[in-house]
Parts: sequence; C-alpha cells; structure tokens
Amino acid sequence: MTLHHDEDENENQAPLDERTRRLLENAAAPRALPAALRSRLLALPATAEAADEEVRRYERARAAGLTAVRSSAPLDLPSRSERAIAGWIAAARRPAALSVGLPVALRSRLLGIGRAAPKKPLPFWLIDVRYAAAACLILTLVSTVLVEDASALIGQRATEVQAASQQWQTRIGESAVSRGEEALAGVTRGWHRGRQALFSRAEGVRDLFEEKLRIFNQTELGRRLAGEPAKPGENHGNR
Amino acid sequence: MGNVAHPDLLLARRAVKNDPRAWEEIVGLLGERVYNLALRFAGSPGEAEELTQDVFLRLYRSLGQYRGEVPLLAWSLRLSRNLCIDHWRHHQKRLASEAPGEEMFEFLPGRSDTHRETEREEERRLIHRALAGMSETLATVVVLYDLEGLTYDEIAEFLEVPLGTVKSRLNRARHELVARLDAFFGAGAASGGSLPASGQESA
Repeated sequence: MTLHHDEDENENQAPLDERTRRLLENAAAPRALPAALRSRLLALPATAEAADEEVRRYERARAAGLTAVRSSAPLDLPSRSERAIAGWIAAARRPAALSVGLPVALRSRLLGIGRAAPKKPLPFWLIDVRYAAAACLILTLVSTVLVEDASALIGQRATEVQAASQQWQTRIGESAVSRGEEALAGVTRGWHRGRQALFSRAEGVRDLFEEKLRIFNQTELGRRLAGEPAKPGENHGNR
Repeated sequence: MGNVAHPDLLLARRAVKNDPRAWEEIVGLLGERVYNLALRFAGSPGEAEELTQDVFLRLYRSLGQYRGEVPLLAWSLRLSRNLCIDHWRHHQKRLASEAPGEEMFEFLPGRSDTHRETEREEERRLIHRALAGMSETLATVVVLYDLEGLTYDEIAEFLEVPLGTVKSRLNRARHELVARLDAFFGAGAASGGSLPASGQESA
C-alpha cells in the first residue's frame, strides 16, 4: 500500500529502507472477505431488527408492570410476546448461545437484559418431572438397546439350536435306519439259520424215523404187517 | 464536493428503506475493506470478524444520517474509528506479550508450500509485534497509511486530527518502526523474542 501513495505524499517522511518497505508491503496484502462473514453481514439487518423488536417488547413489558421478574415470586406469562421475551432472557443467560454470529453490540444488549432479569428458580415439581422424564428416556433407550441385543441373541441361539436339532435328527435317523438294517439283517440271518436248523432237525427226525421204521420192519410184527411170514423162534413180543 | 451529493447517498437511502439489494451492494462495496481494516486492529481473524460485524451494525443503524458529503467508504471508516481504537487498546497488551494467533496466517496462500511463504509469515508476525510495542497513536497511523493505504486526508478524518499531526505522527512512527526492526535484526534474535524499546526518537 505504501507504493500506492503519491510521491508528494511520501515527501518529508522518514525514509523507509528496502527491508522495512518490503515487510510493510507483505503485511499489507489484503485478504478476501470470508464467505461466512459475508453471509452474516447480509443477514445483519434482519438480525438487528429481530433483536431490537425483542428488546422493545421486553422494555414495554417491564414498563407495563412485569417487574415481578426481579422478584422471586412466580412469574405469570399470559401472552405470547411475554413468553418470547422470557425466551430471549433465557437465551441471554447463556452467553455461549449468543456467541455464534451475533455482533458484539447486539450480544451485549441482550446480555444486559439477561442481567436485568434475575434467574427464577424452577418449581420443584417441574424439576422432578424433568428428572423423571430424563430418567425415563434414558431407561427407555437403555432397555431398547438391551431388548434389541437380547432379541438378536435369542434369535441367534434359536437358529443354532434348530440347526443342531436338525443335525441330531439326521444323525438319529441315520442311526436308527442303520440299526434297523442291522437288525433286519440279523433277523434274516436268524431266519436262515432257523430254517436251516429246522430243516436239519427235520432231516434228523426223518432219518431217525426211517431208522426206527427199518428196525421195526425187521421185527415179526413188522413182517406180519408187511405181509411177510414170521421166522421160526422169533420173538413175537418185540418192542 | 460542494453541494453535490455523492452517488452513494442513493444507495444508502435504498438501504434505509430496507431494500435488501442495496444492503447487499453495501456489503460488497465495503465488506472486504472494513474486514481488512479490522484485521489490522484486532488480534485474530475471529476478532476481526466480530469487529467487522460491529462496524456494519453501527453503519446499519446510522445510515439514515448519511448525507453524501463524502463517499460511503470514508464515512464508514469514520464510523468505525472508535470501535477499531477500542479493539486496538483491548488487544494491544496481548499483542505485545505474544505473537499474533497462528490463525492470523492461515489465510495466506500456500501456507506450508514453500520456504518463502514461511518467511512471509514470520515477517507479518514481526510487523505486528513491532506495532504492538509502539504507542497507540503512532501504530495507528502506520496501520492506516502503510498497511491500509489511506491518504493523509482520510487518516486525518479518521482520527479527527489536523493534517499536519498525521504527517508528524507518521514521521515519528516510521522512525520508531525502523528502529525496532533494526534492533530486532541487529540482535539476531529468533522469532518469538521481544523487541527492545526504540532508542531513536523523532526529530
């Protein structure tokens, strides 16, 4: 910027050496207006008007006898405008809420309102209700999370049990079939053995019978019955 | 200027009548200039933004009093004088005791790109520290003349002092600034060291 001045303006001034001149030029480099700041500046008239209106309402309400704000007596706020004023006061009591984007002058004015209106304590029942509501909300959230976790766990366990059950059923079925087949095979084998035993026993009985019959036929009675003459001296009374 | 009103008067009248386009034009016309002026007087970009908003708030509330004798920019700078000086006083002690906030340099292009940019940051820091060690009247003149590029007349109007006073103050201020920078470079101190008081007074 130094270079932008006319030469006659620089005359009679302390001479600047090259280094100082360069340092000043460097420090003088302009910066662009930040976009966020530009937006706030554009909105400034609306912000200022709104704040001024609230301040006027507050001052009218105070002039109309709303000085009970200064006392500890319960504050009755019948109208919407007064409730709005109370909102501004509440906001002004929280400087952090006003720290973003609000010009210092406006903020100071609103904070001044906040200081003019002492803080009115909440009724005890409202505090209790507030805590109770917060506790209910927390419990609801916690229980919701727990129930969801439990549901998910139960569902997972049920699936696992079902899968295990199906596996066991499959295994049991396979085992039963296997045993049944084994039993059937056993029975078949037993039947064959029994049959063979029966046949062999029947053959034995038949052989025995035939042997007895042959012996009987050789006796006198047997010959007689067969029509053959009895041999002399042969015992008639054979067994 | 005589009786001829400046063309900015029409713009101001439109803004007073809540013409949003007029206000937008005013922000476009003055925003960057006021912001840069605020940067010189505030300690950080954040404070400069607050100062800029306060200046514009004051401008918005006072627009009805603008008569067009001077350009709106000069009129606005005059309006912002007390706010800027207040900020300067408020932050001078802090500026003298510590380097400007790091965020002061964040807007520089290619901040960490080159060695040259790092040097420029240090140089800016150096100028701010030197100014913070000077008296308010002298530092203000340097800020307005050498950093903001205002003319003698504009500075005289801004500070509400005679033209000759501006010149003499600038003369003394430059002597002191050069002396402080000489002391700094002569001492060979690393950045962060405090600058010694000037031993060179104006004639």
